[in-house]
Amino acid sequence: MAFNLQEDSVGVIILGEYTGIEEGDEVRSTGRIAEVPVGRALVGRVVNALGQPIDGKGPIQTETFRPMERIAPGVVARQNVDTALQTGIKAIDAMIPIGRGQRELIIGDRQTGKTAVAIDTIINQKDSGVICIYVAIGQRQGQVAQIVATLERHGAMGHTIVVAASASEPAPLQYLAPYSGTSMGEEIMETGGDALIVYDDLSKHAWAYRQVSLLMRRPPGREAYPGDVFYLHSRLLERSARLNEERGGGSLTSLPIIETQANDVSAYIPTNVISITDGQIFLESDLFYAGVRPALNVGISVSRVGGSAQIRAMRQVAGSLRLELAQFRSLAAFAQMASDLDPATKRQIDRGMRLTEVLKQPQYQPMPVEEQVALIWVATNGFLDNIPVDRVRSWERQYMDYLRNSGSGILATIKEKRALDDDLTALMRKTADEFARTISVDQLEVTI
Amino acid sequence: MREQEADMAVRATEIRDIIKDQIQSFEAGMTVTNVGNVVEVGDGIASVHGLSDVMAN
Repeated sequence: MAFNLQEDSVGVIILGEYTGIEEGDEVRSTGRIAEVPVGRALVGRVVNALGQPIDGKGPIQTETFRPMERIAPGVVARQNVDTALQTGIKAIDAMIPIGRGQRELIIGDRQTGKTAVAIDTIINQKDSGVICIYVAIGQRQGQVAQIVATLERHGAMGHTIVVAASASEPAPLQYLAPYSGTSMGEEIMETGGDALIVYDDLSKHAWAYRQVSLLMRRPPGREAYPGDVFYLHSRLLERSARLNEERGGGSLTSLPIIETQANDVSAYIPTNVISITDGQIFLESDLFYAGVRPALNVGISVSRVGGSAQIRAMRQVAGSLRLELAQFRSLAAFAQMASDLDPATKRQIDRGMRLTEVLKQPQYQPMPVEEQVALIWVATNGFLDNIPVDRVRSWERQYMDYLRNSGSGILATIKEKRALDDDLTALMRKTADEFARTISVDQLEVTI
Repeated sequence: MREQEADMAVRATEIRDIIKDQIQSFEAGMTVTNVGNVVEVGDGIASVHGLSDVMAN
């Protein structure tokens, strides 16, 4: 692939075995630009940056090819983000909602659960019809194999394409992998489908691009990255879109991942990608080790367009959740010296601690949106205030079982109406009261 | 014996036709390819001299 065009020579990226190439060898041009196979035949497969299968399941039967690099859809082709992409993670769906066609950055230090958030989101798309593409850039082969095995175990490979350019592959392939994955996603989007693409991660992508650029003798800039690293990521992420009805109404949502060093979000690549995306999910190691998992910092995480994509019922309950958590954070510093606090402050802190507890969620257990709404509603309406903090999660588990089996029809109604009205809230109140009578605190397990 | 000789007789027009045909088909089968030579190679990257008409990806 031609990379640099100079007056008397061409800088070429070698996309295959290059150990046998010697000085003086003859080079011919194909007259075409780099392409990858696309289409539904790739779903369920693991491929490399060139779209060649690496999972040992035989050749991929597809006649459709697309150029790796393509200019993003224009303004006329697009439409507002108005449909939610449910991640199945309570804290994200309630407070940092992601819409189809949005770009939401997942950022945090190593070992904070960035990949876990993305994998949970992929698993949750099992019944939503969204095709997922997971692009692994510069990861260990073992890690990629583990992710594929996890997806298989949770029945998520049936709607997923994995594009892997692991650490052992040459930098040019690591640089190309996200573009190939995006082409595969664009094919789904332009045939009217919904696709989700995860880039794990773009920091390593920038390193690979820096390596290629330096070898090509392009002048180094800040942190030795070439002058066009911003364009490297902006042209990639701009290809995510929600197309309008005339163009089939498809969408391509992206979840780029950035790994920070020692929580420094003001480094070069993180600031670039933060400014390109429509919001970010901050994960923090302090929270992770304090047992808050997912380790989401809800104070500085935002979603700039997803709010309009939330279902109404969620918007109704999430408003008070966000407010109460914000108040809790401003008071949390006082929580240490709980002795002389006025009752209002104490109540606020107690509520905040229970809400934080409710937003914790184990890995690989996505929750449907109607259950999230029902749970957040009871939590923000004070039904948890008398439950000890360390028993909240056990209470939650039993209450959700109760809702699913009690036959009150609450979950079905939320799912159908997508909004809370007076009748429904009255029913929810009645059901929560009934449940409170059937259960005593001693029956709940301590989970911390 | 006589008949066989008459069959084997070389006809000038036939030879001319064959040669003409070959010249024509030779010209039709010609294609243009861009060819260059590797000047430098390493780290998955090569620099190539003499390739014209290349489009940067």
